[in-house]
Amino acid sequence: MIINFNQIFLENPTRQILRDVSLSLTESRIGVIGANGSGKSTLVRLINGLVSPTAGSVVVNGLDVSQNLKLVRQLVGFVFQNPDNQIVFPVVSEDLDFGLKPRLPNANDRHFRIKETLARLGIEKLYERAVHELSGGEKQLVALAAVLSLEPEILILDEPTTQLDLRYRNRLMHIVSRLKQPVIFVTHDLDLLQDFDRVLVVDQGQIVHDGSPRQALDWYVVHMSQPMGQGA
Amino acid sequence: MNTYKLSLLNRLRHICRLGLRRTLRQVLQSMPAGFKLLGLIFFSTAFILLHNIVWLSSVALVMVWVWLIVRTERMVSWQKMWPLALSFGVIFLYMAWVSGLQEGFVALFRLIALWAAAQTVMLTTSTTAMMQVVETVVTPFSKLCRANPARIALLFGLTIRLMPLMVQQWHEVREAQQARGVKVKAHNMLVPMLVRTLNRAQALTDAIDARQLGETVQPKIQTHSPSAHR
Amino acid sequence: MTTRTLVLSALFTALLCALAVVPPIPMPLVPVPLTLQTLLVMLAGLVVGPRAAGLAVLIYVVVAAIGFPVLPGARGGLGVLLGPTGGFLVGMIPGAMVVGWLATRAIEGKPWLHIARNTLAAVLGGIVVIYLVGVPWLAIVTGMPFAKAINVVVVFLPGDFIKAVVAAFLAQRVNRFLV
Repeated sequence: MIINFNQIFLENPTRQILRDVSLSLTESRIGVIGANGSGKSTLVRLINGLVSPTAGSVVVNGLDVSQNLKLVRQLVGFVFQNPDNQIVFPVVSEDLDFGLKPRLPNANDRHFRIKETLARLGIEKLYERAVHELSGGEKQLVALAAVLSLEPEILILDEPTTQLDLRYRNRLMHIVSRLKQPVIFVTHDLDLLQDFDRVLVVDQGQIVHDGSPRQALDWYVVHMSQPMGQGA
Repeated sequence: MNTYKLSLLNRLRHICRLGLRRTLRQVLQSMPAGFKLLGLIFFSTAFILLHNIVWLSSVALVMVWVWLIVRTERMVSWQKMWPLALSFGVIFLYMAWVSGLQEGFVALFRLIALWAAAQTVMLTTSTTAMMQVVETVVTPFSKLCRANPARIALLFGLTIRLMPLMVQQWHEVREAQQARGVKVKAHNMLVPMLVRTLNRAQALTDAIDARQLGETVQPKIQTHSPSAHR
Repeated sequence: MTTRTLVLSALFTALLCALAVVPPIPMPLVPVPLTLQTLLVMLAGLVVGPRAAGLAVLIYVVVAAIGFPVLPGARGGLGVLLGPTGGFLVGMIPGAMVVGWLATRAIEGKPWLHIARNTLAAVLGGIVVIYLVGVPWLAIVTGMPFAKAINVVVVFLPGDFIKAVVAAFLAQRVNRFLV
């Protein structure tokens, strides 16, 4: 994987969200950390084109996002924070099936892929369940399964554990650690990123630190314990 | 001897009725849904144009009889029916007062006939069959509006998915209002409901776009990516 | 149809359906569905625009026609739609679109102007259009003379006007929240 951010600026009428961001992401496990409103969620949404930069470009595996939106979205899977706002059909199998229809025209192929993906995440028994009866953790795993069933080459997760209890948070992190695809993980909880290759710290629209998880922790302790406006 | 004959007669009657019930139900259920709905539209128009009270009352009686036969529940649940009966009664009284007794009865029998016909169609048509008809009718329109059928399917699925969520949201808003000591009234509830709903809209839009649901997708390509394996 | 329109439409249809279930106020007597539903239809038009609002109400009516108990008082089915109140339900479809279309006419100036425009939109779409469909439908189905049908529904006009004003104010508050 190579994701390049080239001098990205992003502003809306009220404020500047991202300021002069240039990055080259190649590692297998990348963490993005920052406070609420820092711009971390916006940063990763540039990768699959959910937001567009005011200036600059984002290139994913050689594809310019603004020119190849459909292709890029095929290779980038995105899991969001709220489990309820990702599953769109009332029954688990229906949701996964609908997403797979364009890729796998044969119903049997889809059935097989869905069962296999659910089993991989340990939720095969949820196949026929009604979504609104599931717990938050179960829903999030279903959302992850729906994305993984499309076999993305890159996976982005935006605060996927924030609304989960401890048990499901650990389960999700365990699943993430075993994924073959490169993963970009956004969170405000440094603990979750201990085994990651690289951690980007975002503050007020800029990358203020870029290094190993250990370095990020040290940086955080020094800089983020001060009130806003002071320090870095 | 007499009692034996009587019970035989009763048994025969029972079998005939059962047979009639079953046959009628089967006939109606096996009719294609589109046919039944068209028939309903035709009959509704006919009822409305009909003015002869003898004809109307007979038709109404027939429809009610058919409806009663087709029902699976034995008893007519008065608890469920009384609001309907009441509203029909009110209309009858109003019409009688305004245009005379005959017109009152005309209106009443019309309403009864219409309602019983519609109920019969509903009872003999499965939801799936109904949805098929909806799909068939909507598809040519969707082509006009440049919306592909997959998006329509997504729309229906999403709507059903969201129903329990909206009920849950209502309860959440009510609890939040109560916690704040605000009296729970419709106008206090609506603004928070709407704000939460509109925020949810953005999240759902992103999730749907990210997975490209309902879109026509190009054949999957494998990009040249040196992925680092763990 | 953009994803956003689709999502907004589904959300508002679901809201309309949910509201039929939550407050248990059956209105059996009145031949007009005088309810939270019409208020929400006006709000839908004011807040999400004509396409999403019209589509939302259309699907709502279709869902009710199929038989789900989503009409006020947990009723449903073709019987209600073909009956005397059917026109007031079907009329909500063009009504919502008219409200939405009028509400998107841009207005510069003070907030009270926006509220006035919203009220006008809610009245024209949420009352005039709906009654234009509902009253003839009522007259035809029951055989009432037209003038008498109007007499029946005139009782509800004051309530509906209040709803239109309330909708205009609420919509203003919602829009302020989001901007």
